[in-house]
Amino acid sequence: MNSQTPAVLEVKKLGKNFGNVQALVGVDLEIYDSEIHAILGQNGAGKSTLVKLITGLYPTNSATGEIYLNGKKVQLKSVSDARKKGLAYVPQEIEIVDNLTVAENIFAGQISSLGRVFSLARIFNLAEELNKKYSFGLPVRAIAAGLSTAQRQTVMIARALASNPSVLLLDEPTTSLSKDDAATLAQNLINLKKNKVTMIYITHRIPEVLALCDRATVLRDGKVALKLEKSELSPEKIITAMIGHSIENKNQVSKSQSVYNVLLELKRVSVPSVNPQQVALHDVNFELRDGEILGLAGLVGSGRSEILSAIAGRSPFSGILKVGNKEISNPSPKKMRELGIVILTEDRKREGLLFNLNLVRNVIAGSTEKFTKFGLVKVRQEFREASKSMDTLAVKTRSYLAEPAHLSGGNQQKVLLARALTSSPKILLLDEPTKGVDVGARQEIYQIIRRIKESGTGIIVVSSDLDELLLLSDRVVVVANGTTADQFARGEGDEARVLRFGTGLLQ
Amino acid sequence: MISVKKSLGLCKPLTVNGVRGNLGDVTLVTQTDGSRNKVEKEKFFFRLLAVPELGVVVALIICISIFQSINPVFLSGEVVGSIIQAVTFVSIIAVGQAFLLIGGNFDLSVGAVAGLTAVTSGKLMTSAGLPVWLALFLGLALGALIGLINGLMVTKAGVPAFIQTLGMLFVAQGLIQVVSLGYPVYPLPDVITKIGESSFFFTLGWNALLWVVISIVGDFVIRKTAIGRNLYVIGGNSEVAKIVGINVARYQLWCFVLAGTLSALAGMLVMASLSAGAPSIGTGWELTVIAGTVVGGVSLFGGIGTIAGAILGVLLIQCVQSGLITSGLSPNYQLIAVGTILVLAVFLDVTRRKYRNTVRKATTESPSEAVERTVNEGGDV
Repeated sequence: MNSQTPAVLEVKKLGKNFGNVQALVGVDLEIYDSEIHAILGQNGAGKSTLVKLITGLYPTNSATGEIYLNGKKVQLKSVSDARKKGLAYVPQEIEIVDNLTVAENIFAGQISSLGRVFSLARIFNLAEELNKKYSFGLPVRAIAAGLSTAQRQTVMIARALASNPSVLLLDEPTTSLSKDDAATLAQNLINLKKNKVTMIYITHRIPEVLALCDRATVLRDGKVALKLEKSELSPEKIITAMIGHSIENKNQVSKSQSVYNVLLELKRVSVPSVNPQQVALHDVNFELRDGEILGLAGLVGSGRSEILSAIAGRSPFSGILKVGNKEISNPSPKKMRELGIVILTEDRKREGLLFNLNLVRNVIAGSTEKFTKFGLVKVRQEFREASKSMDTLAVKTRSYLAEPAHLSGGNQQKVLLARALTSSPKILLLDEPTKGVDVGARQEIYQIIRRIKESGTGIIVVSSDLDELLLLSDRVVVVANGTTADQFARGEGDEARVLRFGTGLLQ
Repeated sequence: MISVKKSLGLCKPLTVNGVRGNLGDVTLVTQTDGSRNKVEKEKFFFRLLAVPELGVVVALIICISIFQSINPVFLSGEVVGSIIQAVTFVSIIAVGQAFLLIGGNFDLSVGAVAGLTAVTSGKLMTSAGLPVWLALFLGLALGALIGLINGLMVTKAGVPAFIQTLGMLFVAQGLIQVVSLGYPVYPLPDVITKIGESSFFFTLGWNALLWVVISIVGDFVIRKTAIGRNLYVIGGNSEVAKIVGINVARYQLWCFVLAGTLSALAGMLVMASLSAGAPSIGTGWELTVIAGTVVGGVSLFGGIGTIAGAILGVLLIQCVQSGLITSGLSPNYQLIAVGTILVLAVFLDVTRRKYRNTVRKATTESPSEAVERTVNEGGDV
């Protein structure tokens, strides 16, 4: 990068303490005009503290150091102050009001600055302008309820751009997107760059950084660990900088089993679709053996999650589903749970964590009966069991009595894994176990999954990250268009094979 | 090991150097220096903040002291007795309502059910000539049946609880008029009057006894049993509850049945104390009950609160109402006071939670200290 041109956003010696904890120490950051700048880092690396300072969530005067915007020193007092000064933020979660039009969603929060009298026509025009300028291709007059996930994400970006910011900050934008949606997003970002939008891209997905970003800053332990120019970007460099040492060898071969028990068997299982979001399943066939990790590979929308739902008793099916030797009829979540089947769903917030209860109670949820005597809960035993499982999984929190809202994605996932372990599952179903989890915590979660497998539990993993799936699985079942298309053991197939069957090229 | 006898560690730290009590008694830290004491005090403060009923207890104490200082008659046996008399009926219902709310539902028909069961069982024991015990039993059964209908419509048919129980409120009010034809059922058998006039302790009789028993059992169930634990999970997120294998519909159904049955019991106790099955029994109670439980820290959105809190909330509202009377204010101010307390209570609760979270964040404590404190708090937040 040309160091003569002044930086659009410059952060100098930024530091922030929480009590005795130094979250950020002397961080320097320069963002230049029309670049996409990646910020990477593990949990606790200071990434989110930095983001909160740049977006004004933490006022600048609560930290040490300086922030310069277009060469001028700024004091950010609040989020709205930062936005006014030209720092726009696209949060991780997609927040769209379904029953408003796309245009209204884009200008949500700015309606009052558009004049005293609300004019839908004016908003339509403004939205249309924005749409054209950045080639978003959004149906601005349509009601937002009908939008796809990728379009929703685009609306979030458009909303941030509506205030004509100097810098656009994207916080892990691909977390809730499928591969196709992520490709749409990438195309959008490239268009934005052509239109001279300066962007900060926070992520832990390294391929995205390689594909999109011009420069990268890697944080570790609250400090800048590495700054990379485009020509220097490589996965090894980034990962090493993030975790401080090199990662384990991918091609770890696990011992193949010749003697095994079948824990679960599906024969010609079909599930009708009850709503448009749900994929209908037909002729699903596979078996799960004890002490193995079975990966369900396939595109988003191929029916992978629906298979897990059916096994967990969440949807009625036809065909044969055997747990051990027992054929299941009239499935219910309770019944399957009693047979030792435990599911961790993809959506931690809506179908996983209990935000009204502390971590101990979160871990114990569903296993309370194990800790009772004559119907009474043995509080100490319950507490010790829960903290023991959280200790083993190294959940990082200030107290096990804290509420899960304060934990990072990786730690939330560990709490849910602790819950699963507390019920001693025979079969564990994991839907996107590392979604929204950073690289370091990912490695920990892989280790945990392997440890659970060692104890003889059969595990089915669904993941959109094909590398992860191939790394973890002893066997892989490829799902396409609501049915099982192919299966192979570790080493017999690769990404190409999954994609050939998964995209429906081969049947 | 040196065995340390239990004592009030806060006031009199023992002087055996370096010995700590077991996990249960962190107050038995055996050092005498002042910094330790300070830490102990802070811990005590945190534990106090962790008590969910703290807010309502403090409010209750403040109210009592104010009314007592205005007019010393407030804490006389007579006034206290009348406050408890008035509280018993509503707070028996509040127990059922708190179960429903914690499990993520609520019931607007409780007052009307109380009235309906009172006039119905009154009619059964007079006009129909049934034995008193049978009439009372059928009254309870009617309450349970109405709860069951509410529960089935909500959990199985998917009608929102608000609509279902509002509908039931109207139906039951109508049925009261149909059964009683608008006149109080009177005179009732002597046994009923005796129940109503019973007095074991000061002026307190059967209704106070039942109130105490039901409150204690209810609080115990919600705090200490698997049923209670599961209700908090259901109220927190029913999807999660289903996934972890809890039969959500069954739990919620039973909560409705419980609320209906307790409403019936309260209704018939009022009937006994009035010696008449008045059609006005229970009118407007649904809102008093909900206001009381919410003032006591039970969340309208489910998963938060305790039975003790709910009862203290009802008690607080009654104290204020009675206190206004002993202070010589016009009864017209009662409703204004109740409304203000309701909003203020929720506001204070929200503030308490915020404060507690921020203070906790700022303290640096080692994992082992966290463990000790957590065990002491018993995970009861």
